[in-house]
Amino acid sequence: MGSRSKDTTVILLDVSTSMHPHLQETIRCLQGYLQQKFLSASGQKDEVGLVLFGCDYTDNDLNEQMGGYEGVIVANPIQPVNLNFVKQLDTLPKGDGTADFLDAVVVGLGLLIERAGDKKLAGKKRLWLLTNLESPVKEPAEGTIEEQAATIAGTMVEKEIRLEVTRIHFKQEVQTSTSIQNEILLRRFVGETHGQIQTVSSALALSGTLATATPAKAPTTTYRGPLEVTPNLKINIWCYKKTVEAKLPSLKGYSDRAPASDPTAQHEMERITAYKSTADPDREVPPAEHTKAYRYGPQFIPVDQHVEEGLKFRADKGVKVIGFTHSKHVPRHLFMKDSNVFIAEPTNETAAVSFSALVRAMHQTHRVAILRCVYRANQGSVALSVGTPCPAEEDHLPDSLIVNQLPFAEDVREYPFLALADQPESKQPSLEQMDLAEQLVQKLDLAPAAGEELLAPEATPNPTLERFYNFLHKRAVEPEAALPPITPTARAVIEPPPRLLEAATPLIEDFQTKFSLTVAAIEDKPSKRFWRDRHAGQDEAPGQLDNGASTSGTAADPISLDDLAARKVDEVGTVNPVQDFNSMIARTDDPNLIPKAIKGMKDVIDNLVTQAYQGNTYDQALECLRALRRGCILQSEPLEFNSYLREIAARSKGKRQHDFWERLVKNQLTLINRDEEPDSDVLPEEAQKFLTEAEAKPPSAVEEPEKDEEVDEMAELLDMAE
Amino acid sequence: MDDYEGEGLFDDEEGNENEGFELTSGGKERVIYLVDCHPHMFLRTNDEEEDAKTFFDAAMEAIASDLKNKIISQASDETGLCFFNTREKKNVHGWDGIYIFQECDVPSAQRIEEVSKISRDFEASIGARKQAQAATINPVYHALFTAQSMMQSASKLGVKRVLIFTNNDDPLAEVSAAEQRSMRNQTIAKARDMVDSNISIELLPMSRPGEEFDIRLLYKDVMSEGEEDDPSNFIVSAQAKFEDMLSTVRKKMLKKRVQRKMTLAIAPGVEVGMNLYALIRTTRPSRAGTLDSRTQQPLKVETKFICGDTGGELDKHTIQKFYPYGADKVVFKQDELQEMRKLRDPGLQLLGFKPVACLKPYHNLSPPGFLYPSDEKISGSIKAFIALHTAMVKFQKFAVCSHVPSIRSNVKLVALVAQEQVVDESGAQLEPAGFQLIPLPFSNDIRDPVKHHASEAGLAPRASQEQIDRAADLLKKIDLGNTFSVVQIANPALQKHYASLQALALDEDTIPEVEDCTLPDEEGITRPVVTKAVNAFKESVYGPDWEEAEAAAATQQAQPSEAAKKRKAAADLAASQQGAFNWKELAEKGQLNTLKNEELKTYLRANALQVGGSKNALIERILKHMGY
Repeated sequence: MGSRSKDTTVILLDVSTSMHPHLQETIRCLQGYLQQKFLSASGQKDEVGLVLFGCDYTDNDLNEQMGGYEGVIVANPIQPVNLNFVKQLDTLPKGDGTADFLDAVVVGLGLLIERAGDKKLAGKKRLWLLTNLESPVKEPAEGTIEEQAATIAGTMVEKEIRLEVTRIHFKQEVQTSTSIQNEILLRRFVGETHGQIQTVSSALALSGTLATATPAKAPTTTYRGPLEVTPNLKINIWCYKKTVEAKLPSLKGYSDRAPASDPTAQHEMERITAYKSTADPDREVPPAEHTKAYRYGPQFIPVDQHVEEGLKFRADKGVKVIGFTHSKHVPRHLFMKDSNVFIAEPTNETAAVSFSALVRAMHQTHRVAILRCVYRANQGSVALSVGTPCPAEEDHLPDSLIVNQLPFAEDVREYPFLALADQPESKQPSLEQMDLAEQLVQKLDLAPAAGEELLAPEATPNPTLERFYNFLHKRAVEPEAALPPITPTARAVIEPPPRLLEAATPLIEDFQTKFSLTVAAIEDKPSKRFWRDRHAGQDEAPGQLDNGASTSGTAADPISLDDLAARKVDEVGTVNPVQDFNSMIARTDDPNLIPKAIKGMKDVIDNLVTQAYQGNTYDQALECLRALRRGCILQSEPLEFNSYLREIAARSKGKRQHDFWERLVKNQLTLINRDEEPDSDVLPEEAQKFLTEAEAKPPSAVEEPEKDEEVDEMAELLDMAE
Repeated sequence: MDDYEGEGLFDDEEGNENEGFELTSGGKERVIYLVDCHPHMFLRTNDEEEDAKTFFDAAMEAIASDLKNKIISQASDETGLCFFNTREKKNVHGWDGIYIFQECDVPSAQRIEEVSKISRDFEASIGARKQAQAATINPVYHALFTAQSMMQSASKLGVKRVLIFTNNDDPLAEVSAAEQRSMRNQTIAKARDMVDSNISIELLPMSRPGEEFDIRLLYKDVMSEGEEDDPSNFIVSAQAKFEDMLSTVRKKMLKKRVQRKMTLAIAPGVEVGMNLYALIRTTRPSRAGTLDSRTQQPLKVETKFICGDTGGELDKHTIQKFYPYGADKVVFKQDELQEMRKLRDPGLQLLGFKPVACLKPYHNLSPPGFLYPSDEKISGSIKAFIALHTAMVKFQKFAVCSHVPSIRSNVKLVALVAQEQVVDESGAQLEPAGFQLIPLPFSNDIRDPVKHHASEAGLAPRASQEQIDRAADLLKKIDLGNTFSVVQIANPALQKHYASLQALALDEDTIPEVEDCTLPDEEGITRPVVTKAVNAFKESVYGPDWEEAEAAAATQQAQPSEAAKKRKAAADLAASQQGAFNWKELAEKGQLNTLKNEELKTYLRANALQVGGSKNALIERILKHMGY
């Protein structure tokens, strides 16, 4: 990761009257932007200044020296971002008049020049103007506005300073002639300084723009080398990440054990991992006596490092084309991971032309490339990928290939599903219902016009990240601060756009009625129908059993069927849950009943425990739990029980329902061990220990601990998202 | 991350998936292999070939291979192996000609080895039934009976199968007509009884080229595959089954299960019920665990959390978290963080619809989910799902939803893309109909590296239409064709891992070479037609002198890079500069420290030493080099 030189930014914020409706949201987003600066290692080097314009008073050097820059305040000189800077935004002055953005640009420019002194400032330098352009630019003392602008632009080009403009113009607002004039002026400005103007049309887009406004870390390539189309046609390319999931940062454990009076307390937590012998739990086995092993059936195969090195798959670094195919052969849903992008090696003219020809030929003939990618030397795996052509839309950008990883044969599970068209007639929508669905799809339109797209991924920031940094800031300023409420920008990601929803409300109500979408009252059609079908089936096809050819459920053991006839139980009720459960698991006619019984029993127990008043229902809950345990042993489903018991432990031990946990321990209701049921995941002594320690989580959630890594609950949970 | 059982170390991906999932079809598979040991089975499968194996060998090979697959794919399945028509006997009933070689149990390296080796000393230890031996038993009947009793202890759930390997289509040929009839009926009755107990009986008939295995003689009535009415079809499918068993592609089998039941909310109270499935997930080799090298038993990992200030142990559930904010530590409680991430309840919330063109190829972070409707929780769901699905296909739109998979996960935006059913020529389902759930990135996740390579001259290099056409000609020559399916390529790293593990476990002498199916077809892409198209393309890009241009480019590659040139120049300069000092004298008088760092570095550069570090380090390095 090459280190990036520092960036210098001067924010020019319009605080005049017409901006007031947007200021709160803008400032909140700016705080997020600044926060990211001083929280990230690379951002800490960066320097930021803040200039307000459209204020009621004036405070800038230029005005003092030359006059003519009224209403402009240098709120923060150019310096690395610190907490005070972020806090200061909470109490920014506002103005009651108009604002001249050209003045602000000149003041900002002055700051940058002053900061540089007689040296040249390294890194990127930019002026970042946030305004709605609703205030007119005043006529200069000499010459025209255009001439003045041209002079300023000239200086900026000379000093390599870019102007970037975020223009806040919400959709419902009318565009005034002032803002149109200003925009024309700015376009020219921006064109000359290689900057850009971004218009944000909603609070969400504003926050999206600012989130990405964090100067993109100098992108690093993940591969540089040939793209081998055939052995005698190689084009040098560079590969970059195109998407990478931005996760919540990892948090470290905090210990409050040290006395508050101790000024030297670090409050940090250490994590100590010990490997204990299973035979002698008190003996810690030193690392020298560890052997790495893989499981093969019931056996452990020890594999030492040398053996493992010898056995590892090795692939040579390189990207090869396996072939080209029509894009329809590679459906979109096969993409497995985050995306990469290939471009031709920069400054290599022939590579650029060859690559451009390839990309455009693929695009014109609707082809994609199937690629074998090994990005690093000596990599232990290969990636099968698809390259989708992406001809540049702007003349100054190179053509590229978006590359996504594809699944291998082992990654695909082929489960059959009934074709929707083969669902019974009673499940097929009527013409009227079809029409309703079509109206709904058309009405809830997130992209009503070309170029107008709501919730575009590029403009939609992650609300969880935003909330975390918001919370972090609040807590830093005020240690007792409560969780901030959900912001409007987060709402936009979790709720349908209010205007769309409002317009579609009658339609949605109609939808509900016409489809009669009702929550089924614990009704269980499948097994009841099965019962009916069974008899019907026998009547209609008496010969079916005789030909001995059926392995379906119809060939169930007649004795248990008689039992069933007496009591057709197919759900665990609250009146007699243990009996219901036992009858259900005794049935052999429908394998779905077992999981259903287990699930039902769990629900009953959960209810009994949560609804208990001073533990009045605990006895019944324990009885149910015991029955569930017995049933899970009988049905070889120990994991079902064990994971459930761990769940109970996790939510009751040391919590509100700790009394229930105590009862459970007293009754010695523990995990099903391997002696009781061979499929179990625990040994007998471990089951015993579970009650005394109850620290166990499902073993599957366990990873080999990594030595230097702190517990990172956030990231861990994120990873489990699917 | 936690305290856990030693066993847990070895839990693999499948275990992971169990968590929070509901089983829709339960139980493991139990298979009994019944292998005929009639003398016919020891004939060669092909008389023409000198070293052709016997039918018995072929059966054993298939079983060993099946076990090797099972140990990877379904390690909890149980198998048993029983021979019939043997000389020796081994069974609880004391029946002649029945020999239980392996009782029903999970596959292990040892059991695989036993099966692989039995062919060698079979005749000595067990032996085929002699023609002369009187038929005191009804072989197929007693074999089936034994197979059933071998599975007796098995739980009621799960799949039970009996696989019969034989090349004898008329096992009762040697008995008298009267006996034949009763034995036949006895056998068929037993088979039906077993089928009634949910045991499926499958036949793997073996026949020599040109000879036909006539299933009508007996086996048609024994087998449980009712649909195979046409004997010729049956042989074809039996052949496929055989090949399946011999398949060397090791693949983990996962049962179809609902990953999560969820609802799609259109508005508050207007919800459609559906189930989420994971049809595509990265399969990784099972994770390694740690053994005690003395006992070869798994080790138990215990993790403690210790307060760095006091050394006291902390309770995992109440540990607070902090994040450095400048010099401060900002502290959060675990439940505050939990609350912080909870922006809404789990489930899907419809936000609206967009044209499919809005879903860009780079709008991707993770594998998809698959949604199929269910009326279980909300009646009318299937109907509503079909209606929406049809409308979305018609207008070529996808739905954008806010998705919270569980209370412990963060909110995400997802695209629901209407997937239509795709079937192959034989009617087999390639893609089921439903919604593909594709998680979308947020703006924080998207980068724009291409922008960093904007052309300063204003125009990026572009191919001409002529060059594009040449490229298009080339594409056509390397097309993978219409039958190409991307999901049929095995992962070479995974296959190598499985093969290596198998070789280690079974003490095999050689690690089987695994074919890397991801390599391009070298032969295909060096065909003259392809080369011709490549050359035409090169000519259009490099001009008619492309060969020389390419050679020139190659020479340029061989030229030292800019950085290398710089280093060379610095060294040359240093060599001339270092002469300005009398190093030996300075060193002896201890006067090196009177020089400036830059001056010291001239010596280091001239002698190709490192030039980094403090002044003292530089001097030390010089002295060391001079031999002091």
